[in-house]
Amino acid sequence: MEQSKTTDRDHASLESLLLNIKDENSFHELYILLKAPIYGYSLTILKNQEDALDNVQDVFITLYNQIDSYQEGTKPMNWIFTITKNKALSKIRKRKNTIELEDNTFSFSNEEDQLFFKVLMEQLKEEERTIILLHLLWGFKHREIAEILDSKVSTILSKYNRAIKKLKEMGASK
Amino acid sequence: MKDLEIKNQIYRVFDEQVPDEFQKILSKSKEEERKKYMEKRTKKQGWLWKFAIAFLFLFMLGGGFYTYQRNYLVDSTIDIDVNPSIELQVNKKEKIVKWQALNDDAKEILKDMDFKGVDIDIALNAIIGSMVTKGYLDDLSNSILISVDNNDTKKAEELRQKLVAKIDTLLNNDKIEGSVLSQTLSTSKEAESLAQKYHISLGKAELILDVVKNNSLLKIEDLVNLSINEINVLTQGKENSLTTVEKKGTASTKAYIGEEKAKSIALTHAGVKNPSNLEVEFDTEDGLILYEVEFNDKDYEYDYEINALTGDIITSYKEKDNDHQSSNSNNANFISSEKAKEIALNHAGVKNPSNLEVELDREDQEYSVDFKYNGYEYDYEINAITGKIIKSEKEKDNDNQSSNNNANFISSEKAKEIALNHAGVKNPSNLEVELDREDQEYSVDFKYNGYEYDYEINAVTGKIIKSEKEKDND
Repeated sequence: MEQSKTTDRDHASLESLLLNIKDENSFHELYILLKAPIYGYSLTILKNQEDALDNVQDVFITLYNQIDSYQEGTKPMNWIFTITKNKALSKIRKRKNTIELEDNTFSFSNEEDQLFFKVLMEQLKEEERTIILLHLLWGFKHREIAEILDSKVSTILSKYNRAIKKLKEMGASK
Repeated sequence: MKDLEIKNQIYRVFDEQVPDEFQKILSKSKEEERKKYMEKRTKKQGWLWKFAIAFLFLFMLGGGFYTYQRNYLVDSTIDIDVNPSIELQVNKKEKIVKWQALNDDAKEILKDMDFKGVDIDIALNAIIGSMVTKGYLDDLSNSILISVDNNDTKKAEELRQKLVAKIDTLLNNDKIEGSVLSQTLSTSKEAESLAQKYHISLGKAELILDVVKNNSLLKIEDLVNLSINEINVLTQGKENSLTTVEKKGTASTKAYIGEEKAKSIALTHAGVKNPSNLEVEFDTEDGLILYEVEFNDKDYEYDYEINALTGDIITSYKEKDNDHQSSNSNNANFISSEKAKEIALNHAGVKNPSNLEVELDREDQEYSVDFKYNGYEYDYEINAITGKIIKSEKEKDNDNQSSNNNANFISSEKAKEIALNHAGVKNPSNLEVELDREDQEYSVDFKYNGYEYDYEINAVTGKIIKSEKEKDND
């Protein structure tokens, strides 16, 4: 079955879910929509499965309790992204040891996904991976990604294309 | 591989790594919210006092302090609980300074209300009126809890009496024979932490502590999610079941099937005609109100738990009667049937099974524990002395071949009955009953006497999730 994704939703419908976050159904819908993007980005920064899952939890608790600080009419995904990034960075600051991605054990429903994930996490450079996630998981436009990463749109575009090419060459079995 | 496929695959590989922990996150979020609220409440009070002390001198000089304090300072805090929980803060003139919904039901009640500077009497009138219109207070659920908090205990008591009398009048006007529970609050640490933990009002927390203190069989976690009427029902007919809480009137049990019906359901199931020591009492478990029916027949002791709303048998125990045992039996060494049930459920990882049956075979010193859950039938044999599992079986339940656990759903007829009973309607028009299997809910809609009714009913427990009544516009 086709999953429902953040990238399929417009700002208005996401915003209305966000503003109704105290309603259990809205909160649940947000959770289902956002858990993949928040986890994906957290994992890219934290490089540790457990910490990334922790971050997902912290982000949702913060969304629920800080909703008053969201300004209506601004972009909901930008606000959620800022919270996700700040929470993850503060986890890194509290860390004593550096962590390697290889220490994790990830499980997948099929080998194809496993290979794809390996390429995504190990073969792409961190910046390439970030751009891919922000565009495909978070639904940010290349222009917005350029702003977030403080870079030029042309640079972002060429890095994005290079990353997609790598994924297609190495991660695709078909 | 197309870009869209890459997008789908990225989504999938991350999504499947995050287990659905929504319920955990929801409860942590609410806990955090409650914590924040309590901090704000104490901080604000603390700040106000410091403010008052710091400026006391200046105001005294100007003669303005008295007026200031009377108009803006919070003098009493009043919690109103039905199922909606509302907190009002009033100044010395008993005008509202602040009002707050403590749960979702209360948000619905307070929706567009603005109480700033309004007299407590008028606010109460509006709140009770809204609760009656929205169906939170009626013949089937007639209990309300009022809790007054004021540092001056004499004032608190005076205000409590005044509010109880006022609510009594308001309910009488609506032709509801109410049951008003009331108390003055002496903020205890225990109640505060309970209120924080379960996101309930301080007033409800104090009530629960009072109930549990006097009824050792009731557990805090079973009471926190119940409405005031349900808690009130549980204390019914038990002497001294409340000590610090004053009670006026009787809790309504009209929504329930009644003791006689509960008895006959249990006796029919047990195949017993002439029981001895037959006793019926209200009890609660997993958010349900139950009739607990106990009796003896021949050499057996029976214990039934019956859903008070639907008449479904939740649990049935049958055990060789201890009193009839020969003197050399080693009863004392047997684990309790409750323990046997726990061992089986823990092993199965099941929390709320249906059709649970526990039976003790004294001769073989074994408990047999059977239950159904999620389309499976479980069958356990447990050593009655050691608690060791001798046999455990799990198989597809043949009674319901479909993947859904239909057997656990109440019938659509029953759902209709629950809605009509609640609405006090006998012959509605345009009646529609629909079962949403995925959400495990019945929706029951009908029209009557120029009104449109809209009910959502939990298809497993029979509990009313939502009830709406509005003028029919067609």
